[in-house]
Amino acid sequence: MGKNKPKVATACMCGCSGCHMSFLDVDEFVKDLAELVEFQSSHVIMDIKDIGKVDIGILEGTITNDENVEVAKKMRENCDILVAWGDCACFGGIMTMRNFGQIDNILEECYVEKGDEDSVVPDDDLIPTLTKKAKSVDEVIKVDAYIPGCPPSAEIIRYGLEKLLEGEIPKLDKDKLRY
Amino acid sequence: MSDVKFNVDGKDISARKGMTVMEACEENDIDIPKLCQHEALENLMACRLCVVEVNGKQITPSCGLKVNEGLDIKTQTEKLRKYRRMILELIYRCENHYCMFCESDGDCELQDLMYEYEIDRFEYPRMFPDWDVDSSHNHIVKDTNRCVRCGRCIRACDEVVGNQTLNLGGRGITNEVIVDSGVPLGESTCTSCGMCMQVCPTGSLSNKHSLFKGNKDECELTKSTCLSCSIGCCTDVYTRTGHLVKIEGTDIDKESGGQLCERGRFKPLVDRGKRISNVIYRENGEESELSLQEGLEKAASILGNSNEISAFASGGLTCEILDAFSKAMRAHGALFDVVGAKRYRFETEVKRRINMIEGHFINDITEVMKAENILLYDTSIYNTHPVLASYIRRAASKGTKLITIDAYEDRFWNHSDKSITIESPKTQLTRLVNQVIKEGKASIEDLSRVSSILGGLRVHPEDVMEIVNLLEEASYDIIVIGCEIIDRWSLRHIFELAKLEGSYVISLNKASNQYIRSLETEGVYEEPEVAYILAGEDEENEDMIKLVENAEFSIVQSSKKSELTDKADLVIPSLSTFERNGTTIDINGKKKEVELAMEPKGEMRSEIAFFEELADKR
Repeated sequence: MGKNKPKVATACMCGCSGCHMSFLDVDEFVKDLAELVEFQSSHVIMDIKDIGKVDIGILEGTITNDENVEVAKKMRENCDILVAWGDCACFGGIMTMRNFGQIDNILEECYVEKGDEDSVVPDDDLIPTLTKKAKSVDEVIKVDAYIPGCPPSAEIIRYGLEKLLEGEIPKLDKDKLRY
Repeated sequence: MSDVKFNVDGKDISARKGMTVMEACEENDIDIPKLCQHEALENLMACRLCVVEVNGKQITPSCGLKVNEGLDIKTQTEKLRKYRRMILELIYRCENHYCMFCESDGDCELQDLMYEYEIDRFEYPRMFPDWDVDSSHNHIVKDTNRCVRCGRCIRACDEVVGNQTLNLGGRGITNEVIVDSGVPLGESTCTSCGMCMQVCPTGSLSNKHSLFKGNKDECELTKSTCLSCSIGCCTDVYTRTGHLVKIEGTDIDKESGGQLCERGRFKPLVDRGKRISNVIYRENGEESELSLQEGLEKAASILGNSNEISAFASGGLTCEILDAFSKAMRAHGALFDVVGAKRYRFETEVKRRINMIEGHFINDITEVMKAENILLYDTSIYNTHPVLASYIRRAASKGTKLITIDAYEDRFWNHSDKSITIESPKTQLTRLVNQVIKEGKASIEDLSRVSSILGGLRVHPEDVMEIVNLLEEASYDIIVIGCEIIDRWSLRHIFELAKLEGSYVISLNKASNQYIRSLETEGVYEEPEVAYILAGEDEENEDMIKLVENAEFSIVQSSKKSELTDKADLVIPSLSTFERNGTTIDINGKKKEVELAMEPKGEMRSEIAFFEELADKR
């Protein structure tokens, strides 16, 4: 691997990984991309999950628990340009539907009311604590580039990456923008 | 009208005095964003997205700004873009818009504008209000989560449909579109026409039956004519992979404002029934399936061996099919009738008998909106001719005096100035009105005397006087006669009344295709040897059912399973409304195209060819 290739890390927070799946639709561009960049970590295409020092950090998903906050902050600390990827990261997406109610009531409804008689709300130190509200990435850390879409299409992902590699901050115009 | 010259974005344009800047820009292909303005509705200036810069200083909504000589308008400055982006985001943040699982994704005016203004992030925190979704209505889902408070639905319900069901309720962040006084849509005074849904810019009001079946870009569009009643509204029929997705009205520029009714918009989506795809022959309680050709031979041989044949067709067929069917039936010596034709024949007969000139009859139903007073016999037009009903409501809302006469519930109860409930026949009431007009204004006491002499009369003298006054006080009054009135005497008295008072008459019948006016029809045998029914969309018609029950042998041609096809001895498949191509004639005598929206399914390809062959098999 060349020494001067920009490093990229991607991570998925609370989301469906659909943006990452859509990324795989770039097909043969992956080959070109491998020539152009070095993937430092990415949960769908490599084993390394720990975010290291990178040039471009890409975040998918909504911030809904303290682990998401940690990942987001770590990515921010370790990257130069941070990209919010997909509707969830840019706007909050479907996960923000829980903001209509109180978190305790929602947990109660999901785990107790809709479960069987033995169901309880999970309570374990291993389980990340939910944040009070589900948030878009820029409500927690500074975001440099926004690529919305549910998911953003492979062409849009490619366009965004190409712009970033050219050293520009991608901005989707009206023909490219699709939620 | 005089021209006004002014400047938009450095371009000199001229417009007619009284136009708004937005209308003038639209005429000159200058794009101004908007959410609340709609061509069929009055301007409300609710969304403020159409703001423009005026003379370099003032910023004002262009839908509310009248053109003026020398105005200098800028529509696309950076400042305006900033404001519009801000407005869009504020509209968005107040509700819960999730494009991903919204039915209107791809057909949404808010979404289009968000793209246009390249909104890829939010500057303001979102509110996440907790709204309930109202799905109590049979056809419409009302979801405040996606509402932008443009007020189009409210204006459409009031201005176009004349029903005033929707309103704005609450203040500030609790402000929402409410139904009547805050009841669920399904329990309201809604007429289910779906006009609110058609004008909704977002997915706030959507069609239950077309949810997620595809947005407009994914569908094929066919421009056709509705065959639900004789008004013949122009329709946009959306289909996808040979299936019906939705139907919308298109006559935006006309008085109808592009409205349709429940039957035109929703019935084809809901009530499709089980498709008849084979010929079914029933003999001695046994049912067998035949090919279409065998069915044709069977029908021909049965018709050929009978002397008393009654042929009865739906009034919702194209002219071409009615022609072919009547020819085939005449070839076999049948008596031929069409739904609604009986009423038309009676009407013609009565007209001739009392020498009533054609000038008394109005075919343009929009005239009711110009009338000073309206006398409505039979309020079932609420169901049979709903768009006409909307015109009457609109007229009544604007101050036209409306008196309704019905045997049952007055469907115009919240619009009529006087509801008269009198069981059939209405003859006595109308006759008394005639009498009072002829013999000078009798006092109520005189009438009471008359009514006591006649005894058993259920007419209230006050009602008679009300009608007399209604007709005498106005110079332009219209009498509307619904299609339930089919006895000659009622028609005669009403026509005589119109003649006496110089009133105009709008007379309706059940045939959707007014081709029946030029088609030769006659009363059919009530208990024939053979009844041949071409059911069309009239499969619930009582006369048809009665005929099938009374005939020794019955042939029913229909596209779907119904009581009729269950009772018939020979069932022949036919095309459905959207599989037909042809023409129809509306109440105004105008010929309109009925376009094929879906390829025929099943063995039947052309009914016309079928009937031609049947005629040849004489």
